This record gives sequence, C-alpha cells and structure tokens, in this order.
Amino acid sequence: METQAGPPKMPRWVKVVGIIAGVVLLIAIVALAFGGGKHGPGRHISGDSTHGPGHTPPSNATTHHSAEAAQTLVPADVTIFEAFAPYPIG
Amino acid sequence: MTPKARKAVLATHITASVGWIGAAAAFIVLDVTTVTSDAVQVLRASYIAMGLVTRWAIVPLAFASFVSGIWISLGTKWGLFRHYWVIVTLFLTVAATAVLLLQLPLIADRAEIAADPLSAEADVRGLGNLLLHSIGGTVVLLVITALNVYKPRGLTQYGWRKQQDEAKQQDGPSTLRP
Repeated sequence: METQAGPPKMPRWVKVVGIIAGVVLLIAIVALAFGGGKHGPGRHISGDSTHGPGHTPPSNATTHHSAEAAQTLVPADVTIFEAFAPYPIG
Repeated sequence: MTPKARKAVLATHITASVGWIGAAAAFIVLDVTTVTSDAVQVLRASYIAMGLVTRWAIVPLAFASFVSGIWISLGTKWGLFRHYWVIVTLFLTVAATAVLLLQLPLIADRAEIAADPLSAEADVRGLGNLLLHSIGGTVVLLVITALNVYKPRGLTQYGWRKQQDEAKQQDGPSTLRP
C-alpha cells in the first residue's frame, strides 16, 4: 500500500479506462437509438404462418409426420428449459 | 474475516470468475458455429446449447463472481472503494452482468425457436448471432482478470483518508505511553 503526503490524484490508467468505457457506452446508445429498435428474434421470423411466429406449416405429409414424431419426445407445452431444468423455473 | 474464511471466499471468487470466462468461451464457440455452419440441425443444436449454457452456467457464475467479489473485497484490506482497480473491476462486472441479463430473453427465445420442431428452417437460419456481445463480454472479463492479477496502483481519496485514520490509530497508543 502506498503512503502519500496529500490526497492522491486519479491515475492515468483510470482516466484511459473511463474514456474507453464512455466511448463504448456512447456507441451502444447510438446503435440502440438508430439501429436497435427491433432487437429480438421476432425480426428473423416469417409472419405468414398459421401456427403463429416461428411456426411454418409443413409442406408435405412426410414432414408433417416427422414433426409430430418429434413433438411426442417432448410435450408441446414443455419448453426446452423446462425439459432440461434441474429445478422448476419460475 | 478469519484467514480460513478469506481463503474459502477467495477460492470461490477465482473459481466463479475463471469459470465465467470458460463458459463465455463455450458460448463463443457455439455463436461462431451459428455463423459458419450451414446444416440446420447443427444450427438448432447450437442455439439450444447457447440457451442452456447461458442459463445454467454463465448467469450463475456471473452472480457467484459478483457476490464473492464484493464479499472478499469488504473482508480484506483492499476494501470496495479504497483502490481504483477494485472500483473499475466492480463497475465492469456490474456492466457485464447487466448486458448479460438484458440478452437473456433474446437467447432464450432463440433456443425456444430452434427447439421447436415446427419452426421452419428459414426461421432457424435467420436467428442471427451475438458475436459482438459474446466477444465483447469476454474481452471485458479478461480486462477484469488482468486488473485483479496486476492490481495497478491508485488510491482513491476515500482510501487515502482511511489509510490516514488507520495510521493515526496505530500511532496513537505509542504516543500515549510514558
């Protein structure tokens, strides 16, 4: 530990870190304001589905059959996190 | 804090902090896979794994690192606001955890879509990546690690006042002796 006669000044490295953090924060705010309005998976999902977002109806009987078979592995109302959760999720 | 308790908290803090970096590295591997892979099954698996790694590894380790970090700093001579490197570490940890929690719903949503057998291939392919956040976050964690190892000099005014008070208290009894 250092001992000094008067109150210490802020070290240069702290100022450098502060400036970098400020610039990053500014960039993040600008990015959110001008380009991040729709920041979610919904922007990637096609809207022309009868099953709602993310659910596109199968194009043929084979696909439909495999989709149903896959659904029987995990019930439709059980999310992936609930299926793997070591304890109940609130 | 007793020396044994201090060592136990320090071991917890190091384990959680380094584990956080390891889990973040695993997340980057999966994130890069979502960019480089063309196989939809690999994409689905990657998004699901990203969700699970985030929820059950990254978030708990982040909280464990945060709590144990505050505990160890308050229980030792370093304090929480006495040295600039501790304050910067605390600020960066809070910022990294806040960004992580803000991204958590997005990561969970992507995992849900990828896990849904009825979701279209085009939807899974269009889920995107989080490379900016995952790589940026890992860089922040590496900076925190460097600060904790090198402990750069720099006493805050509060720390300096505390140091002066402690010095006076140590000198006090000796001056009173006959």
